Parts: sequence; structure tokens; C-alpha cells
Amino acid sequence: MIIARNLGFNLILSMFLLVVSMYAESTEFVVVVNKNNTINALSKREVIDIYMGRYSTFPDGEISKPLDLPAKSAFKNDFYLKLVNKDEQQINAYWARLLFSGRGKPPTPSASLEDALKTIASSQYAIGYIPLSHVTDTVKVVYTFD
Amino acid sequence: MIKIISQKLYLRVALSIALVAIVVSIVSAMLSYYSDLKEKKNTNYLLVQQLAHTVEKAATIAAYLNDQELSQEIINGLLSNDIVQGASIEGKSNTKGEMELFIANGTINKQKEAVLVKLVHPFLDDTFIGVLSIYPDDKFIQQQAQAALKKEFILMLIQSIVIAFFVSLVVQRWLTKPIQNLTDSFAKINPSKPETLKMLSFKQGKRDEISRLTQNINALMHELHLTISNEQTLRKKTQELEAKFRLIFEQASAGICLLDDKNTITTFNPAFKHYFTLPGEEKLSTLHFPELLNNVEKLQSLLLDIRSDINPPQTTLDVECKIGYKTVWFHCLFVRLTDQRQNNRSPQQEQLVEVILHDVTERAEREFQTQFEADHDPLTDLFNRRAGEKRLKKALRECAKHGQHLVLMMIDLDKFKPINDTYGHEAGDKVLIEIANRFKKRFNNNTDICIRLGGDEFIIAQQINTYDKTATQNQAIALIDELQQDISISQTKKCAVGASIGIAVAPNDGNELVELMFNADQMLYQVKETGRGNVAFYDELKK
Repeated sequence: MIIARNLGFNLILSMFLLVVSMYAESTEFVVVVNKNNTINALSKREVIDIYMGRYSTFPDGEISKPLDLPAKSAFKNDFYLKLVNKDEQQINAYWARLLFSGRGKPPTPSASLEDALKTIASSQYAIGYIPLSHVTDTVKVVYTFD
Repeated sequence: MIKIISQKLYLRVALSIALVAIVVSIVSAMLSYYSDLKEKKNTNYLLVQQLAHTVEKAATIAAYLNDQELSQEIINGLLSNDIVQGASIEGKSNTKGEMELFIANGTINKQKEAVLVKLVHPFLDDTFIGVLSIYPDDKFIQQQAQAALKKEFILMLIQSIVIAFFVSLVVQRWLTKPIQNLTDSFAKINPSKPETLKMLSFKQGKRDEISRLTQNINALMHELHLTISNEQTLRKKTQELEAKFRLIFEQASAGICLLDDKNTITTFNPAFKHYFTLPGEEKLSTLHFPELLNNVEKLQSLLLDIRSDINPPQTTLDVECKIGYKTVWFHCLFVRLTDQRQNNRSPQQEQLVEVILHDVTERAEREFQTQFEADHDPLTDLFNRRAGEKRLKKALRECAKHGQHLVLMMIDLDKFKPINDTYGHEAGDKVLIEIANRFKKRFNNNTDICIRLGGDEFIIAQQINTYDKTATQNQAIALIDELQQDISISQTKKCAVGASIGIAVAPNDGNELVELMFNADQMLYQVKETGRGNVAFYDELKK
């Protein structure tokens, strides 16, 4: 009985994963900054360093304020999977570990995608990620996933 | 060194065991120490490696974030382990060549032994962002190993000492003590006194080596006891016998000596020495026997004869010998000795000759005297008729053998009877003695034979090589002349006798004595008949 149930559970899980990945495959993210930002392009590594808290500045020395999409959203999970091949839970665990050293600080969460876009459009230091389909003129694309 | 410490066997065994045990303990402890140390080091290295892997993730993040606090925390955490003596986290230098992170604590100078973990970028697999180095604490490990070594060594030492003690106890109980008992029993034995050859004590019923040894020794001693006792009895007997023989040899009145094959005296007894040394002399004048007896040729040939097997093994000889001024007669008995040990000797062994000699001077002299008295006329000391005839016969044989002549004069005194009648027998005796003296003076006592046949009748015989009748005649006439000279019978009185001589010569006048004497007597009778005081030859009668 238990074996049969496990089998069924596994089947469901793998099907779910298949659906997610198909969905993710369809979502293409771009990293965007304020229009006034002097940076025109970032490497993937530079994006990782900013988002994972290694540097709190852009490569040119300006302060960077990374923004996260709402927690438990498919966007956030997909983005981190694409960026560092880790899901949202793993990212949360990463930040939790750094909580007591006081050094690292996770990106600021936004209420929604629109909210994030607004913040980027208004703040010179902000940096965020959005699906390619949501790119507007108010922001500047500095990195596109291949 | 052990010798200096003690001669006791069990102590020496114990000490030897203890020494060996200590050496073995040291060596094994050292070996175990080094293998242990190595093993511990390996274990430690593995532990440190595991430790490194435990903190790897945290260190990676710390290095990634260049987080000093986190790094410090990790390093301090590592150092709280006994097996870590130092640790460091270093970040990769950035594009400007500056090292953004270097956190270290503890001793970190031994780069070789360090456990190095390359810290990989947490999000990019192929990028290194720093190194975590952990240095194992060798001193701690060493201390641990040393403590183990000490413990092991002490344990082994205690074990060795206990074993040595018990081995010595066992050796003392089962080996040394029985041997000591055996030695003590032996010490009581005096080989020169067989009565001390007693049985050695040993525990009955035991079958170990020492008991068997003791039994064997007892058996041996029993035999030895018997042998020695027998030997001593025999020796006593031999000594008694020897004493007796020695007494016989030393106290014998006869001189006894042994001659070797060169006739040299090898052994002699006191009597022998006494015979041949003058008073005051210590040594024999010579050890050569024939020389000692002044009779070299005769004795040498005799000794040569007696050594030959074909001759009888013993012979006697009377030897006259001059010692100092004395003439001594020895009766010698020569015996060829057959040595009892002949078998053991070489075939050409020396033939020993034993000589036993007595001083027979007195007897010899007496014998000579007796012989002289038997052979001679007591009045005149001339041969008597019996001895004279014997000598005449011998002379005749010799003459026949050598082709000589024997002149036989038969003499009769004239006018003797009147002197006897007139002056008495004593005077007659004096005349006869004087006549005999004149014979002795005129004739050679050794070669010529003078005989008193009896009364006033005499014979004088001469052995001569070539017979000259004239010379004989002259001699006879000269004899008559001399005999006619006066003879003093007392201080005042003198008298004279005459003589008639009849002569027969062998072999011309006969070969037999009886014949010869008869013929001479015939001629004497003829002279007496024809006027006395003359000489007549038998050959004249035949013509």
C-alpha cells in the first residue's frame, strides 16, 4: 500500500516539475536598472555578486539596491533557478545563515512586479529582474539570460 | 657485570631475564610509539579533513562575502578542537591585486602538514574564491602518543619484573636448590677416603633430570666405592709384599744387582755396595760389572752366553776379586731374567741379568786349605803319593797331546835310616824338610811336580819340549850334589845324606805311569845295588 502511494506521489511530483519547467522555460527574465544609471550592461557574475550580497555596489562604485519579486511567486523561484540554479527555499536558507553576521542583507522584497518596476523607475540605485515581456521604456535592460 | 653482582644461578637467570625484558620492552615500546604516532597522525589528518569539510560551506560563504566576522567565528570554532593548532581562511585577491580577506589564528607555519580546502564559488562551480587551511596539532598528538608509550612501557616493565621474579623463584626452587643440595653432598666426599663415598640424597620418586643425575652419580659412586676399596686392599697387599721384598732385597746378606744389556749395573742392594766399596767410600768405583770384578774377559763371555736362549738360564761362577788390598772370593749366581711384561715390550728388548753373589772367601780359603792338606804331605808340603800320581797322569796326558817329554826322576835318600835311628824321629823329620826345601828351591813349583812317595822316597817330574839326556843327567848329578850338603839337625849337630836317582822318560820309556814308575824304580834299585849316590837311565838298561 505504502509503496503504491509513494509511487503515485512520485508520479504526481515529476509531472508537476515537468509542468513548472515547461512554464519556466517559457518565462525569460531580464535584469533592469534605472534609466539614469551609468551602467549599460552587467555580466551574469556581476548580477550574482549583487543579488547574493557579495557587493553592495555596482561595478562602477555606485550603491546598488537589489529588489526581489514577491516571495513564493513563480517569478522569484524561476529567476534564482536561472541565476544560481537554486530554488527560493535554498536562497532563503542562504540568507538565514548570514542573518547573525550582519554583513549580508537580502534584496528588498517588492509587493508586486508593477511595484518593483515603479521603484526601479524612480530610484537611481535600484536593480531588479522582470520577465522579458514586461519590459517598459522606464527601465534599462543590463542583462538578458541567454 | 652479572658476575660482579652475584654468582647465584637463580639471581643471574632473573637478572638476565629482567635485562632482556627491559631491552625488549624499550624496543617494542619505541616501535609501538612510532607506529602509533604515525597512525594517530593519519587519524588526526582524517579528522581534520572531516572537520574541514564540515565547515567548508560556511567558510565558502564567508570567503564569498569577504565576511570577517563569519570567518573569525569559523576559525575560532576550529581552534577550539584539540587536534587543530591553527587555521586560516583567505580570499582570492581581487582584480586590483589586493587580498580582501585573510583571517588566521593559532600556529600556521607548517604549510606541508596543513589540510587545504579550496573554496569554490557557491554559485559558480568553476570559480575558486579562497582557501581554507587547517593545521593539525602534532604536539598534541605526540603528547598523546607519548602518554600511551609511557603507559605501555611501564606495563611491560612491571610484567617483565614479575616474570623475572617468578622465573627466578622457579629456577631457585626446581634447579638451583637441588643443584645446591647436590653440590653440598658432593663437598662432603673425599675421594681419598672411600668411606665418605656415600649416596647423595635426593627426593625419592622424582623423575626430573637432577634426580636422574643424582641416581646415576650414586650408581657411579657405588661402583667407584667398590673399585677404590678393592684397589686399596690390593694396594695394601702390594705394599706389604713390596715391603717384604724390599726387606729381603735390602737386608739380604747376599749382594744382588741387575745388569742391563751393556753389563752395566742398574740396581744393587746395600750388601752389594758393601762388598765393593772400601770403608769411607760412597760410590762404586765403576758400574760396569766385569770391570768391577776385575775379570773382564771371562765375565763378558759368560754374560754373553747366558743371554743366549740356547743356554740354560742360570749359571754359577766363583770369582776371585781384589778389593783394595784384600783378595775376596765371590760365589756368583747369574740368572737370565724373563720379564713378565715382555709381551708389551718391543721384540728387541734388553735382556736383563740378575747377579746374586756371596762372599765365599772364608769357605774358599778353607777349601783350599783342605784341598792342600788332602793333596800334600803334611811334613814336607810336597804332593803326597795320591795327589802326585793324579798330577803325573795329567802331565802324561798333556805330554802325549803336545808331543812333549816327561822326565820322571825317582829319588831315594841314602844313609837316612841311621840318622833316624841315631838322632831320633825329630831329626829325621828335619832332614826330610830340608831336603824338600832344596827340591823346591831347585825346581819350579808350578810346572815341575815334586812328590814324596813315602819314607825317604821322592819323585820329581818335569815336562820338557825337547829331551836332552845330557842336560837331564847334569841336572840330576847337580841335585845329588846339593842333597849331599850338610844338614843341621840342632844348633850343634850336623849330618848329611846322599841320594840315588833312577830316571825314566815318557814316551821313550813307556806311556803309562805305572810302567814309567816301575821302570824308574827299577833303575833306582839298580843304582842302590851298584853303590848309591848315582844316576841311572832306563834306556841304558834296555841296551
